[in-house]
Amino acid sequence: MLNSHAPILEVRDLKKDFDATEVIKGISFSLEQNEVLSIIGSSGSGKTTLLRCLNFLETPSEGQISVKGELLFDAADPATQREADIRKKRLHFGLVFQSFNLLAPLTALENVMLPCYFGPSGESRANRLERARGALARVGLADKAKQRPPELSGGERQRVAIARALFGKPRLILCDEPTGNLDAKTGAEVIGLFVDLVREQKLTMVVVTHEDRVSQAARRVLRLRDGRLVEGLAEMGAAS
Amino acid sequence: MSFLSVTLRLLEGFGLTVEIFLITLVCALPLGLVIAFCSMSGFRPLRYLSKTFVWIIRSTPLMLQVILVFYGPGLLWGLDSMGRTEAVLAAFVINYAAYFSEIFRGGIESIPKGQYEAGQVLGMTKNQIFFKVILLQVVKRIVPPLGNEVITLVKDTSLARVIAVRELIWIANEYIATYGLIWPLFYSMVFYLIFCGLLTLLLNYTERKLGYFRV
Repeated sequence: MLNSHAPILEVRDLKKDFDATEVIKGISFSLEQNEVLSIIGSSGSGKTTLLRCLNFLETPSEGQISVKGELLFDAADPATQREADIRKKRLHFGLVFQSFNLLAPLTALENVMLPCYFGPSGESRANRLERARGALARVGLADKAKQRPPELSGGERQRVAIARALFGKPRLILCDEPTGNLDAKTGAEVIGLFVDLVREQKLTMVVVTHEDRVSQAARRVLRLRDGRLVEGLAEMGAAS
Repeated sequence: MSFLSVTLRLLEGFGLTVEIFLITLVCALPLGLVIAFCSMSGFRPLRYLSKTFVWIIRSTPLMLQVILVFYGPGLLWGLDSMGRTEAVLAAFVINYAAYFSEIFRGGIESIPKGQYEAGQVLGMTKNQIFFKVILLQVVKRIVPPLGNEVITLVKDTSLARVIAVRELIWIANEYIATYGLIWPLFYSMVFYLIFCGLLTLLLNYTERKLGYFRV
């Protein structure tokens, strides 16, 4: 049941191991509406695994994840882990990958519209098209709607991925190293876009990054080391 | 022995060649996909069984497989032999399904994990991910190796003659045995050249049509 006073995201004692290797060793944090949280840490610290657990691309070994007070996942309760339910729960989150992960056979516009093909939608096709074109225009790609991902540059692909993540109107945007595959100049442009979007649309976002410029745009920073939270909830310069 | 009468006789044999080719292709492609899934299965016994099957088929000559399928049931279990054409078709379908399965497996495994994950985060089911996201990209990648196998299949049909199936080469060979004429045998090459040429054009066209998304 959704609770309007509950934090938008609450993670309790999350653990993840791969066979004998424990990658996430008991992490708890919460996130309020319109907050931007940056997760930083060196390679292998577990930050990407943590993000993938939040979106159930990895199944946590222990712990609980709630969105707006609704328990989405409890490692101790198999009823929260049914695949059909997990698919629906994923729609709470929009995910921006480091490697873009656009679907190669589809145009940029079709990629942006994908969430409404597979998620619940009572929206008319005309509305969806207009919204998707608007989302592409917002990321500066109005003229690339009919291009397929292989015909776009890295920065353009990431912009399409951002438009796709926003299009599904998720409660929370998760970003995994969004500038990790881009050169410095293109990366800076994508960061600028993120900062603008956070300001404009009051996004609630979790960003995994090692880029200072990205983490500086966040209100809060979690630092991970060896799967543990070593420095948490530091207040940073707010972007909004 | 007129050129026209030889051509007409060779066309008869060529008809059977095309029949073996088409039936093998139509049956071996889906069977190959099933074997590919078995080879990638998480259920270990099924995976080992499938890989062993592919190993045996790829490591033994097709000609011997044709002979085994035709004579084997009679020699081993005293059963009636199946028809010659049916035996050839069975051996060819089994053989080509094994080869196709490896091409399919390579194609499916070459698709980046991110494409599956992109489908997952959008709430797609496993079937939706496979049929709407992965399959089209797999097809694009496997057309060239599959094309090679298809062209090889055309020429392999000549192996059917080992159990006296009257395909193109068998008919051409009859002219040597009966009349001492060798030119019909060389002439039969023209049929293969034209057929493979048309297939090559078709495969090139398919590659071009799928070329819009190079991944």
